[in-house]
Amino acid sequence: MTLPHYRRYLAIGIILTLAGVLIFAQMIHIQTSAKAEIVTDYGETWSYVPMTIFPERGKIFDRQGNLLVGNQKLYEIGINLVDVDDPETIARVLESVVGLNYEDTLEKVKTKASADAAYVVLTDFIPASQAGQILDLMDTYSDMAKDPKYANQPAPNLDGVLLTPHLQRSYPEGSLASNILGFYTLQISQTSTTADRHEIRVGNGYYGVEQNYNDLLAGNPIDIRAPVNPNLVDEIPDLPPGSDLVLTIDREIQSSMETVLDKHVKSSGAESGTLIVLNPETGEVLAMANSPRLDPSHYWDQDKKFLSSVNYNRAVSSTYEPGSIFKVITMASALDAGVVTPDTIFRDTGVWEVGGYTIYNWDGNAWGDQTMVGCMQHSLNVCLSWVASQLGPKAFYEYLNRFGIGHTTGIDLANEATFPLRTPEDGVWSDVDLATHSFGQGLAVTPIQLASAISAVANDGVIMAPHVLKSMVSNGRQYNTTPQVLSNPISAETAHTLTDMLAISLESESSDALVEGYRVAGKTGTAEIPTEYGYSLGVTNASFVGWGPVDDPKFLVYVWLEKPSASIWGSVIAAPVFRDAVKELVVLMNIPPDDVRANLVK
Amino acid sequence: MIKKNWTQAYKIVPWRGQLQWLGIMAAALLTIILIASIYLSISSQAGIAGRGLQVQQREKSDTIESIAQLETDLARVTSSTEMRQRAKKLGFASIAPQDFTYIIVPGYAGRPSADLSPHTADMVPPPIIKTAYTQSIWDWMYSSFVQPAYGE
Repeated sequence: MTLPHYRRYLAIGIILTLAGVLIFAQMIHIQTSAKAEIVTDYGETWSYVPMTIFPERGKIFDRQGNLLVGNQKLYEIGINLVDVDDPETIARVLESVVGLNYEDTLEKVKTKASADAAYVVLTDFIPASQAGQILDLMDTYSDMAKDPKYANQPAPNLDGVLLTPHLQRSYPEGSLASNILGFYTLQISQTSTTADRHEIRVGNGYYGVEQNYNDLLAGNPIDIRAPVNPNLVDEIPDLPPGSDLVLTIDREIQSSMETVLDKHVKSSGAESGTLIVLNPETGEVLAMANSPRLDPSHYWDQDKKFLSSVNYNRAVSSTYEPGSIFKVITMASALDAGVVTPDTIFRDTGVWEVGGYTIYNWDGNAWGDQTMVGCMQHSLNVCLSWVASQLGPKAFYEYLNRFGIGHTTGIDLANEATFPLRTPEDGVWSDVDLATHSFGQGLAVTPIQLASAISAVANDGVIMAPHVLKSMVSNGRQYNTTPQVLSNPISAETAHTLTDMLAISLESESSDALVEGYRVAGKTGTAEIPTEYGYSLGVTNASFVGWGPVDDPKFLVYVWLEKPSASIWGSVIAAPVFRDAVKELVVLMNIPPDDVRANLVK
Repeated sequence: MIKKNWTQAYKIVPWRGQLQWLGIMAAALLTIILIASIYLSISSQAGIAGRGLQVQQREKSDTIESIAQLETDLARVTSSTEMRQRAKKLGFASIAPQDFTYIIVPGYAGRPSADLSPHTADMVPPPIIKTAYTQSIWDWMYSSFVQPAYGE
């Protein structure tokens, strides 16, 4: 090789080597540079699509396995603006099939596609039947386009219309038990830019079971990054659905109780009604009816239906002064403490002076000598004020505390309310409070709170924690709940004695609450309603609490009718609700009449 | 000093040398084509599998949605209101408590509560894709050869 050739080769070799070294150095620089991370992130952003995978929301069943809340397939209708060819046809079809306003739709569909506006949501929650009509029209227009008739003119088409299915809550039983179930709101939106178009879900359970067990029902959604490159095979994790819940309520009982309640709310002219059926032995809520109720599939009507959120489920969220049914608690406490017996005589003079105030009976009359049975039968405020005074404030409020008055019951439904109880420890308590509290005025409870407290009398002195969840099904396994004891405020003997007293008092006055063939115990309540200017005149809360059969109570029924206009008295308005409810209950719960049951046992 | 002047005893004919080079180049080209073919084949299979997986995921979602819809439809036609209306149309009427006849059925404990458990050991299925498809070659070699050798 000659020298000039050698030098040329050498020069080329050096240049190529330098180029290689420079490339290698640049590679190292890119890898180690502080900006390398930004470049990597940028690359990753375009290589993967962020997605959140939501498991199917758990279903809710009644105790017999009937579906109360499920899921259904609904469609979102949106427009991929860049693909729109015939906006007039789209607007016309959506007007006729879905009922969208033609002008509004046309305006949206004619929006010019841009990087910031590529997709427009027109409507959502469209049932499969309507979505099917649109899909059929798409096929029809597609066939028309092949027709020679349209060789020289554009055929109508729905290009750009996108139907995206998704699951939404369904309520096969309509408004049945809606106050217990609550509702679930789901809003699905998609980011409108082409660069970052992915689904955003904002969903939550509100009220009742849907809110209380939201986390269980929702399951565990996961965030993943799906590769854009199909070569990057990646499995989307298999998510188990949210837990299914089996409730303690019975569909047939709930339906019957709602029918009974609706009928009586209407006939009594009451503003609202509440009816609870508890199994006192277990604390299971068999039914919890409210009137009026919301159709949960139209949850957006909630504000129109109810003035306040507490009215959604009055049984757990509304506090009110219960009136005379509270005398059950007072008498139970006094009997248990031994300060009175059923035969203790009280001479009723019709007035009871305490702390500068005078307490009167509901009729303003003096009833003379009365046994404790008579005091309960005639619902004498004066007598019960005396009973509370015999018990004394310390023992009285101690018993109230054991009965759970002033505390929540812990029922597994959202938004349970409680009203603070004035006690001697509070600065605002006075002697008259002891008297008024004894007959259920000057304090406030929720229906479930008082039903739960009185269930002690129907269950050998033991309060079982009220609950609506019977079992939970998760990952193919069913987990049953165990009834829990809430407290034991009175002895079984006291409970039996008081039950007998209240059964006698109902029988003695031929109450409208009596049910042929079944011995039941119970107490009426008529309470004045406090306002800013004192107690209202001629407007009351009518209540009744009863249980049966008295020898082996299987149900406790609590009734509250708010501001009835047909009559102000609980004995006239609320007692018949109890009777009608029990007539249905004994059939649905397969409880034979007392004499038949006695014979069957023999 | 004797200058050593090494010379080749014989020289291969030029066409033979060219043929050797051609053979080497052809072999290299063949190797590259072979590697490229394998790569294309594997990546196209992976691509098809990826697309197939996406289709199956969509079908799975559709199936879940359809099952949910069918459950809802079934619940609607057997709802409390619907069943009452159907019973009424068929001429049935509610029975009064006094019209019941009660008998004791030995061994019958009443209607049981709902049992919705499918009674399977585990509802979470194993992953569809073998881990070998998602492992790096090093992880694959480690889990396939090294770990078994140590009995881990």
